[in-house]
Amino acid sequence: MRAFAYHAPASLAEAVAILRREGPGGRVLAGGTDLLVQMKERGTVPRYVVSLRAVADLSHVTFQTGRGLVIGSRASLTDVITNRVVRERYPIIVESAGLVGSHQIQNLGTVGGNICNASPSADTAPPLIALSAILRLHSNQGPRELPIAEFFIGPGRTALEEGELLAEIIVPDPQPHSGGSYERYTPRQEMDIAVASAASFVILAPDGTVSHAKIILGAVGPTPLHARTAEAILIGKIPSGDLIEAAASAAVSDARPISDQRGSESYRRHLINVLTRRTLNRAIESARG
Amino acid sequence: MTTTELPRTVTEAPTDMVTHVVIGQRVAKIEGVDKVTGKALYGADTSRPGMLWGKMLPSPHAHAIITSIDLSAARALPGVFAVITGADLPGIVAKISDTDPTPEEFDTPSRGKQILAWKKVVFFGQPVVAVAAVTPAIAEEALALIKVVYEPLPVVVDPEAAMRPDAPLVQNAVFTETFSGKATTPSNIAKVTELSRGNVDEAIANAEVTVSGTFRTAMVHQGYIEPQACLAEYSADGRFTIWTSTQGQFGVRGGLSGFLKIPPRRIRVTASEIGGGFGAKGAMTLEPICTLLAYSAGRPVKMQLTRSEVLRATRPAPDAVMHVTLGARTDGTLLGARAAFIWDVGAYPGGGSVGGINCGFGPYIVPAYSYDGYDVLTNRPSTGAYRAPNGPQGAFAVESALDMLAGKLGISPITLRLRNAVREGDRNPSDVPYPRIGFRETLEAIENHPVWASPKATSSRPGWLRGRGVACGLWGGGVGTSMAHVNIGEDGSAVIVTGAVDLAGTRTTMAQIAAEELQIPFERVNIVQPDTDTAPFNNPTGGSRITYSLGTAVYRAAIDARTKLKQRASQQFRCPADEVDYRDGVFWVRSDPYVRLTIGQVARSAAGSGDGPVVGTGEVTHLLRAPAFATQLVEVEVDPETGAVQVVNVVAAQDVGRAINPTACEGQIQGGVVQGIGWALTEGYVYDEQGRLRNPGLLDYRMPTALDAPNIECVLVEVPAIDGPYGVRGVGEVPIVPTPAAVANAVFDACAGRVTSLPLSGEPVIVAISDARTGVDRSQMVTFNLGPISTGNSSAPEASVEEPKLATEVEDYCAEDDVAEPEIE
Repeated sequence: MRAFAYHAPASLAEAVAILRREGPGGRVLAGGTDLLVQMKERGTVPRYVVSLRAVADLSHVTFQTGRGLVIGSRASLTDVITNRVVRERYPIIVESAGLVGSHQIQNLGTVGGNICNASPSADTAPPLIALSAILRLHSNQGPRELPIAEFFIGPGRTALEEGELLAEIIVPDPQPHSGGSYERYTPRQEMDIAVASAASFVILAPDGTVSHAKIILGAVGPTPLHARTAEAILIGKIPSGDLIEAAASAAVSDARPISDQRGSESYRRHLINVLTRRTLNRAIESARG
Repeated sequence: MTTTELPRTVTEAPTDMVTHVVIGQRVAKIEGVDKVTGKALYGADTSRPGMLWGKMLPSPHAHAIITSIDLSAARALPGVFAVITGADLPGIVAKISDTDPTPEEFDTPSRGKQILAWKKVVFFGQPVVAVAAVTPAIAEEALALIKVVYEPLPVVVDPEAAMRPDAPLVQNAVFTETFSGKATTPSNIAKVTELSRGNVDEAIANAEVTVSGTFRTAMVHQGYIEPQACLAEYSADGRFTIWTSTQGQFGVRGGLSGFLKIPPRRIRVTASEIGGGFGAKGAMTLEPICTLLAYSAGRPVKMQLTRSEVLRATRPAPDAVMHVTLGARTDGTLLGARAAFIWDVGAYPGGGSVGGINCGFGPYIVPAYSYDGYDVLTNRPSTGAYRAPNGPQGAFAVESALDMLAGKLGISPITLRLRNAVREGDRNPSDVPYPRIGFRETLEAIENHPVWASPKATSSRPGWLRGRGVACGLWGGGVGTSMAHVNIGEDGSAVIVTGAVDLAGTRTTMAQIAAEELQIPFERVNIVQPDTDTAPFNNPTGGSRITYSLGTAVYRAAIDARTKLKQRASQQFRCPADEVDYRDGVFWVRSDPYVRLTIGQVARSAAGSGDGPVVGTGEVTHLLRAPAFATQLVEVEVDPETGAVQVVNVVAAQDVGRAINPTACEGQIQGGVVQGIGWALTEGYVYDEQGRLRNPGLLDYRMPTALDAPNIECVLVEVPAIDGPYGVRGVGEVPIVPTPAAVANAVFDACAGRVTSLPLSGEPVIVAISDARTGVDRSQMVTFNLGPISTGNSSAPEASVEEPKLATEVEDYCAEDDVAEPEIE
């Protein structure tokens, strides 16, 4: 690890002021479970680091009907996983956050960091996109809101502008007759990173047809991908085995995987088919109550 | 009161009927408290005043000529005390040893000599420059200021490609070595090993049934959790002091003595507590360069590898491509076997050879066989020892083929193995006869085990398939020189002094042996492992030799101490020594049992009278090897849709000879099995076409975690070895040998897909299942064609080749990825 300047502001305002003052070359540290490994082992050399650890007003996990779930960017994965409201109303978030690393990692790491690290295989990203989460970004100029789907630009690259940091993740109120599911394939049981993953979220109309469907694929493109053709197949239809098979096949063509050390392109396509089918089955089952 | 109780037998005969008190007990590890409370000092935990930090610049190329190195900016950086390149090595060594510079010596393609790249880099991540600076950050800053100009050369990372005549030469001065001599033109084939017995062609032609297959294992890392770390100090009296994480401090002293061309007395080495070695820390890694930096800087220097450096540039186990043909009668009796194994030994010679076939064919009576082994150089890190070196590879090939044979014959895999299992007197592939062994007993232990005897369970997970597989393994046993002192304290307690590194809890077993033979409570025995100036000599720890060899030395030292104590007691009793009896800490005169002295009383008096305090000594140089056999039953569950494989249960039977500490034996067996599961399912180096390692971190180099470790039931079989104390055999190596094959055989049982390449989890299982459905038999596809290999002066070895075809299942792992690769240019 090379030398760097370390800032530990006590408030969000102070944090964005430092980012503004110091300019390019800085990194924001929340849990540090990605950043420190990158700095120690992968040649990431930030000029300065702004730690959010002392920032008190970013650690909240709150729910208010009409406003939805608000996750502060400093809230740990454990804070989210163990939150009663999240467990009851957003099980898909618990499901995905619980897959990140180990308990130790979850105690330190944050959902915000998982998002800002912008790995195509980040576990919390597909469910949050499927739930149409909004990100509140802060800079010296004040806050702005951005749909999370527009946040990811490429591996490790986000829509964060210079001097901007992620303050909150806002997830809309749960919908009646909705259901979501997230699954991934990893070679190890746990403590691993997805070779491919899929999140499915559906809302059923009173007549049993699919009124809303989101299928988000992880680790099969430079960012989490929207499987739009697969979604279109479902809308307005009553879910059946054949329909789900058709959607799963369509998701394969929506994927844009590469071959790398984690899996070949063809294997990733194969997995997308399996994972899309499995998550859709579970999402629909849960929506039907 | 009865007059005389005989002392217990003191011979080393293993089959005596002596009842042991401490031997066989599940005592807790002596050093356990220090480890769990964080007090144990590992390689990086020692510091010295004025200490600097050393770092090395890794090569961004797998194969390139070093055109120029500009060190000016690094040298000018405040806080930098030393900067060394490969070209500086001979000069520094010459200064240290006061000899003439001999740069030619460094032309020898030896990893031990070329501790920094010499004229060219030959693998990705190879250290090119070393620096020492006042902080790690300044040392890294200095590395970033170094400008190296490389002229890239063609790269070869595939061993089969490296064997082709037109392949890029990894080393310009490696000439194929055979039993009949050395070739005269350089080649990537460093060594050809040919072994045979009988007429194998005839045997296979006459066989009623044959099977053959080509099997591949990946380059895998030992995965010790503690990265190599070293601290070196040079003092004005010309002596070097080294603190290091090693399996053998005397090995380091000898190695440095050879490298620096100075006598061992100028070197003092202290081995730290070790966080795993598995063979890898039997060879030096950081010690030479750390020593040179300390000498050049004039200050102590500490170095500690990062995880990515450990994975990129230490010595992993070789990957192998193995072709095996077996011929048998319909009753399963083996008639002949043919094997051609290609060992990818990395960029420097060494690391392949015969171990794999001794482990592969070794457990079976094979009337006729041939083995052609090829050690092949590639632009990968040089390879080294990893727990039962080359055993898991050889066993994967042979034990998979045996499973195919059992399937073809429709007989139980255990019956097949029992039919062919070696017994005492049978000869191994290197023609060495086996002494008493317990192979059949391990097979029978599995055959009679409730898991094998009961019907196969079905998976509780919908859609998952369950299967079980069996495989066997062998490790020939480790021997070597060991010495120990047993110092008797004034209270009659004992301290064992040894210079052997404890890799696996052997401090505890040594204390058990001393307590047993001194007949004192285990708690009254301590053990210390001081530095090379203080401790008696020991060969490095490895090859499952410590409990066997050091155990013999401690046994002899304890008996020596007991004999001397008896003599001291006789001086105090004023009677002849042969009139003194001893039992459980009490000496008495046989003719007058009421005249008694405790061991503490004798020791206390001896401290200032008679012949003085007691030190027992024991030494051993070369015992008869005590081969250890294992049979494992593995149960897996397979998700046929994703190819996911989970090992859910393992029964591991192993002949341990005599379990000194059953808990320690089980720990070794469970550790070996878990490592074997890593080989089987998830571990493997992935290189791109430029020879860059794509997974130099524990995220993508996937060792099993606790969640991947199944229930592992150990069945300790005790067939005593004929040499050494108590019948003990080495335990550590063999449990890894059968596991990869047993997992693959279980996967086949579950899903009918025969996976011939490791690691197998995921895509290979999907491919195997699909092949089984469509009738494609990849096990019959020979994917390499050795062709005639010109060794210059020996006849071309015949390769076992059938229907040569090009590789059809090479997966392209090499595209760009989301994870930034190490920026090391």
